[in-house]
Amino acid sequence: MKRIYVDLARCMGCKTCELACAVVHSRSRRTAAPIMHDLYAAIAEEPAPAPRVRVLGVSLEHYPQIYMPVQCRHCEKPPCVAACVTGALSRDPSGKVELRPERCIGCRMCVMVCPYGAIRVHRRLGVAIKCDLCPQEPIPACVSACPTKALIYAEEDELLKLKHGKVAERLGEALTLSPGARLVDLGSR
Amino acid sequence: MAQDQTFYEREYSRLRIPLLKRVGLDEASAELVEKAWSEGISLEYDRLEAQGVQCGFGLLGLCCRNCYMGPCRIDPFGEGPTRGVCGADADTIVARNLVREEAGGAASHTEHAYEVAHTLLEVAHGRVKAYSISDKEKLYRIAERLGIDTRGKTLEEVAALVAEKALEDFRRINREPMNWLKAKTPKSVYEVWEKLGLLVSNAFHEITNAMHRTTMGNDADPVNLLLAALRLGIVDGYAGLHLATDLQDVLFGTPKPIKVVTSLGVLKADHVNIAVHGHNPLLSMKVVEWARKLEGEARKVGAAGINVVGICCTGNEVLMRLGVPAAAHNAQAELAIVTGALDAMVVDIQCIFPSLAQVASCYHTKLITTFPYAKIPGALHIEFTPEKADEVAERIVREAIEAFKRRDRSKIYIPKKVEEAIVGFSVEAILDVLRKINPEDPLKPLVDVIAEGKVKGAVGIVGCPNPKLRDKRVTERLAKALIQRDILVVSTGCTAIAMAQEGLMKPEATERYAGPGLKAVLKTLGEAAGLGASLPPVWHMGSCVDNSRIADLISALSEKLGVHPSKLPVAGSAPEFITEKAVSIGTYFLALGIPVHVAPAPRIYGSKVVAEILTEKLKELTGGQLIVEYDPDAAAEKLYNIILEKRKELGLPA
Repeated sequence: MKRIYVDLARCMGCKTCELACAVVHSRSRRTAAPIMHDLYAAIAEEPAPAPRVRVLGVSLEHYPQIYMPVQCRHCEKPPCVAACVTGALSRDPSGKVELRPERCIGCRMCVMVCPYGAIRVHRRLGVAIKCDLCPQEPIPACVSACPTKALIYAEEDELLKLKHGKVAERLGEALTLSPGARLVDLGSR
Repeated sequence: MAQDQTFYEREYSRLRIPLLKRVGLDEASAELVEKAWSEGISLEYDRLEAQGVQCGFGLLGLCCRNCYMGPCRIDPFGEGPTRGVCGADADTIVARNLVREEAGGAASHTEHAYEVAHTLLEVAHGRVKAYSISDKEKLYRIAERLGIDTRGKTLEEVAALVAEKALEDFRRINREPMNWLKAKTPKSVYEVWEKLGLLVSNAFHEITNAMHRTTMGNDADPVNLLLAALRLGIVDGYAGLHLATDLQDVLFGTPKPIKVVTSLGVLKADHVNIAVHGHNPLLSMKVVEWARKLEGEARKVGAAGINVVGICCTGNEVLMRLGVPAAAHNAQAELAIVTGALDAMVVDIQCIFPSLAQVASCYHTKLITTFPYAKIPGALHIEFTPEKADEVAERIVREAIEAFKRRDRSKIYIPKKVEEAIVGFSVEAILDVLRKINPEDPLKPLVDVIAEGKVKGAVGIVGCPNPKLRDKRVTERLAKALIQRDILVVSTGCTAIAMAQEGLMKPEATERYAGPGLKAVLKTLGEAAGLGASLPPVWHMGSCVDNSRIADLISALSEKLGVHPSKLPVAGSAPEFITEKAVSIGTYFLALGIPVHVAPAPRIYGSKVVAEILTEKLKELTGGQLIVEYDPDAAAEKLYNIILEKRKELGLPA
């Protein structure tokens, strides 16, 4: 299953993902339109559409801050699903954590148990809202809207391949820079 | 945010940017874009794509960077912060940002005009010899309007007095209204402005004040800030547009109708090609002069001659006055270099993309910057001053001749298509045509055809072709839709170049696109003008500072009929605007009482208060009204309906 991953080195905390998320979850959203085309109509909606992603300042010690957009991680063992008494939250065969708002009673058990604060109850609608990975969009809106490409929508294997490529590159550089490093032969044991 | 359902429903819900049909770029541009891509050169269209999703806070005007407690953003969905660190809310932030945009626009036009006024003074005193006074009649007409007693004075003395009056508008310390405002504002407008406290006194002070009042901890009242925005519009109008046009006409002549050619196809493979790009005719007029003087030098290096072409508004200045072919509007400037046939592009101020240096580096083209405050890395800088105008222009032309020798002929491609156009519709020229029908009362024939309903009204389409909307050809489609509805279109700036390239400024366009009433009127006028054909349905009135000519025409009609301009069946449109200058020009027309259509959406929608005032409540104050609409057909329909409404109020037939 494809998930949303964050390249922490790249997030600038601009919150464009938040706006994009709210727009695509608005009633004004037309799927073929560029996301911000529907921004004007979306901000006028009553009740206002709400983003499912929040950009957190991860560390206050550092300045500039480290930012991290947080949305539902679609856990393998989702505490929210376990805590949901009405069956509004479930895990589909692909692994995606799904929410059926018509079954939600707004009890906020999911809010209490989510380790990331990635699920909450809509202020006006009274039912839980969370990242649904934008089934109507070609890829999740937060990912396509990110100006620095800090968000990655990929299979875990793809992400690892990407990471391993970078690690190999870095190791390669380190080993080239200090030729002695690779000359330690541990011999046959 | 979402509280007042009615205004939101009316304005915001409607403003879902439509998925406009792509018509594609004009033929010449499309060919050159392909050429650039095949050579691995990136253009504005590529850079726009690379920008991806543009910032939503920016689009709504909700980001404040005016102090270092921030930058702050207001959450337009109402869940996150509703105020910045200082406590400024969405209304304050949006209004302050708008004022700063207007300050940028007004600063651009006023400094342009200031430089022209200063040059006129130096010419009058004989300290600058490169220029002379070309239109004496206009000088005396201006002097009369300014209340200058010209009896017993020499031409130079009158010119010096006019220049001094102009410069006074930049350094007045009493609170008297600006000279140009007093001289050129219709009485009905003057009274409205006086009541609203909009009679501005000193252009530079207004701009300084705009920056001051929008710093941290000053003006937080959105209504008071919007009044400041109107003041800046008026500053731009009189100390920018009017002043620049009037004094440029004095120095270089008032345009008269002239047949010209336009499009990127006006470059010539066997000539030394020099493009003048920017806004200030002090430089471009001299470049044209020296190009003519140095033709022989060009022949010595194997060229057939020197071909100066215009880009952007300085292009319009030499197009209108000297018939210099208009090669490109701002969005085609890069493409002029991509032809591989441009030997030098000499630029002055405003709308000069820094990307030109990168594109030029792929060819032999010399990019030459000339103003001390508009330099570009990678360009050759030859500093221009009016005192050294001849020396600088000569050097520039010689640089172009040098560059010609380095041309790579394998890289040359010049599009074939060239469009003809009749341009040069200054107010004076329009009155000259009308005088042939009614010598005593030239405005009467114009008033009559509007009153009869043959011509429903007029719309000024101005501004800049915007890469965001270019492949949708919003400007051209809007113009065609209006002409078809018997609405006369007048135009300035880069949109005028785009429409000329579309063939909308030749007599045939009247036959092809105009509604029956407009067609008949343009035919009569064309015959009266001795053209032997119709006048075109779109009248090219000049550069972007020449929006003053449109204001002059509106003022003349308003004074003749004794009605406030807001009653006239006229409107303005900047259907693809780009610049801060367009924002302040638009505001000037809003202050005059004119409905102004724009696209893309100005950055005001983050504040319901600001958006509602500009799009609705302003009507009760100045008579002006902002209309935001991306779709050219819908925009034409709206402008048509507004014009019909105004006709009805005047008791005219629909």
